[in-house]
Amino acid sequence: MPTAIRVLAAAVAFSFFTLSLAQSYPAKPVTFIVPFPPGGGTDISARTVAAKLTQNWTKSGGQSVIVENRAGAAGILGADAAAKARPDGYTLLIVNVGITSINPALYPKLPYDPDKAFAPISLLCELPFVLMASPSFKPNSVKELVAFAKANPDKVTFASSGQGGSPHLTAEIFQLATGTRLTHVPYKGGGPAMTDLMAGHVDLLFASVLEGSGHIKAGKLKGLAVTHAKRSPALPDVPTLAEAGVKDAESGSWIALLAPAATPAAIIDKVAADVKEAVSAPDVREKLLAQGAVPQASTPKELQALIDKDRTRYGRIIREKGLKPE
Amino acid sequence: MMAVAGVLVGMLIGALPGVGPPSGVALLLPLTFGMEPTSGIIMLAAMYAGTMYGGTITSVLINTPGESASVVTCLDGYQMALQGRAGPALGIAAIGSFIAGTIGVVLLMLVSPLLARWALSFGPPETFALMLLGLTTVTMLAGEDPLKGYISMVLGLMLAMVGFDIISGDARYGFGVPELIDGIDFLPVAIGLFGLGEVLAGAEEKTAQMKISLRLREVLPSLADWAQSKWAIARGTVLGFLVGVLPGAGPTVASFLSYTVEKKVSKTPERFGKGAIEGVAAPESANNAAATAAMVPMLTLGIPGSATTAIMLGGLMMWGLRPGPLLFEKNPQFVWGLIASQYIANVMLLIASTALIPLFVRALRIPYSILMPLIILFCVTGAYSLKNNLFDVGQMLVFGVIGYFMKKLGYSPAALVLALVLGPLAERALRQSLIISDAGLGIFFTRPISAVLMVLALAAVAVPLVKWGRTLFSRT
Repeated sequence: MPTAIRVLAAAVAFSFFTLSLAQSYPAKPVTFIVPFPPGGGTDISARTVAAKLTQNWTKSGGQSVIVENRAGAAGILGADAAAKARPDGYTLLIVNVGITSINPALYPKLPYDPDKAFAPISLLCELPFVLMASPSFKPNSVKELVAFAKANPDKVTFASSGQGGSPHLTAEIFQLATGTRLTHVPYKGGGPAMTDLMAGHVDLLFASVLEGSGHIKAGKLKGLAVTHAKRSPALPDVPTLAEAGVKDAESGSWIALLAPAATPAAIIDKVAADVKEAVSAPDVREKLLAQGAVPQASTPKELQALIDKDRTRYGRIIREKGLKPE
Repeated sequence: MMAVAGVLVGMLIGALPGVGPPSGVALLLPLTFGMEPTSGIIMLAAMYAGTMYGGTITSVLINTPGESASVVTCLDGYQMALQGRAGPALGIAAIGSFIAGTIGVVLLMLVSPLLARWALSFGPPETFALMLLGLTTVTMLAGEDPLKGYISMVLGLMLAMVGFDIISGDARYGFGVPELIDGIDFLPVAIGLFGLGEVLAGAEEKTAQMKISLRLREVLPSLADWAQSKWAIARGTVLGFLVGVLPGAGPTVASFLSYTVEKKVSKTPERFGKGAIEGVAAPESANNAAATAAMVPMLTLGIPGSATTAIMLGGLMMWGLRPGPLLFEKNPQFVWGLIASQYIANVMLLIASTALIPLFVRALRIPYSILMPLIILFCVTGAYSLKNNLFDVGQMLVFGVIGYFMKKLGYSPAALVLALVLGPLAERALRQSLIISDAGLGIFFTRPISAVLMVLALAAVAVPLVKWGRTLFSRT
């Protein structure tokens, strides 16, 4: 048999193999590695989608999704476990913007190659942020804030959930876009930062709409702007940054599903389609919205484009601001 | 029903060293997702109480703290067990926890909004001052030689430096190991230092079989025990509640502080560390009161006051309840259900633990040659189950060896663990304060709460020094 035919035959055989693989997939329980502790925002959103997938797959005689939390080191440990898992579609990885688009710039020595370790599957949801001010802070709008900060450079403090996290970088983007200079007070986690904002120990905070909306509605904090292109249904009275006059500062986090790089394309496409179905189900939409997330599925290609776009953007901020650890 | 199941499951889980309340509740959280929100949260609250007590059981019986809040309990609890008084130790811990929990729930109902204001007045400077005060308590934990106590503390503080620098973002002393980015977790350290260290030292000493009494009368605390502990419980409760309300401080700091207070007010401080029942009663009451108090910021502000409440908050959101200032207004039944369930959990805990104490104590009858490998097994699984990570097991083993030497040389492992827990909190608060004040130290003294705490902390260091100086002077 000439080589060409042999290759062709092999290719055909292989494609049949992967096709049948995709048809019978999942033949055993699928593990979603969540590289964060249980109970956090990413974990909750991931579990909501995982529960729906389980429901759908069980209906078609399939299998369930198991959520496994592998927390630690800004998500690097969990991502590493997924990178080294068998690429058979039975171990998938939940990520947020931090893992794919911030960590590579922040941590030069990742235990895996961020360019080659993963294949994108689908976005699950976007998590817009809201810029909040302490009740004792004088400015009541983004416009007043910018004027005040320009008159008092370095005097206005902003808290964040941690150095190099997406809320921190969002604040850096905000400073670049408005030409202001603010002082960063990092906390460990959003909770303590929120408490100190409420008490007026710090002036400003970018946090997820989920964390912030309750306090804004109760009048304990001032909501100045949301960082998304559209207003948040949870905070209909708070303008977007663009509406408030700040251009090109849209930011926020998102949650997505990845697979180890060598996972068969047929399986990736099937999971992407199933995720899309799960995320657009009315009950899942409602739950995600209640969690302050905006449900949003995508194709693998769209997800890759988003990862790359944010990576370029955050990478630039990290370099320019010198946030990279030595 | 849910409360009974929750307490029992929680106690079982909590009895595994390493699986403290946060990981225990996290482990069990998915179980509750299928339930009604109210039964789910009752079960969670009960498991929380159960895991807290479970940690005490191992502290007393095998000197292995199940979670950070029961590290102090090891000091006198295990000594009591060695004297054949494991039963009273566990009993007084259960009674203390019950009283503290009950008073805590009442305070939670009556003064939550007021307490929330107290919590908010704690900014970074106040937190730093409190942590500093916490660190000065090492001399109380250290046993006979305060200098060795301070050396242990400095070692702990050095270990606390490892990990992500919150201001600059550098991974300090990481040596390229990703596991070290988060710093050294105190639980594997505590399990190693106490549990494994004890086993290693014990293997050498060929410890005689412990005297164990199984008669119920001797298993439960006597009236004399109770008389000795009642004020300790009262003080522990008040202190625990006040500290527990503060976000981030939590049960661990409360337990250390209350132990110190007890030793200070005691007429016979030399009994501490040798099986003083107040040394068990006070911290156990304090950590339970603090655990209840941690619900205050969660319910009134929607901000979790401790790692465990953070996970419970996640549970609330899974059920579509949005915690925060509006929770009370929008879901009153739910909130009162939660508070009631806290109370039920405390009652169940008292009954379950009293009934089970003879059983736990019996575990000590197992010959040492069998018990020791079992303890090692406990230590290994405990360390592993923290994060499903073998790295933690290695860490635990290393600290087991260190614990052996510390024990031999008379250095206090409790001081090291305290420094490791408080170090990162203190550092963060210090650096946040200095950013806010633009590097002025005045911020610690111009704010009233912070100033009082700072003065107390400085006095705690200065007074023994002056006394020491005086004795030195009078000798010459």
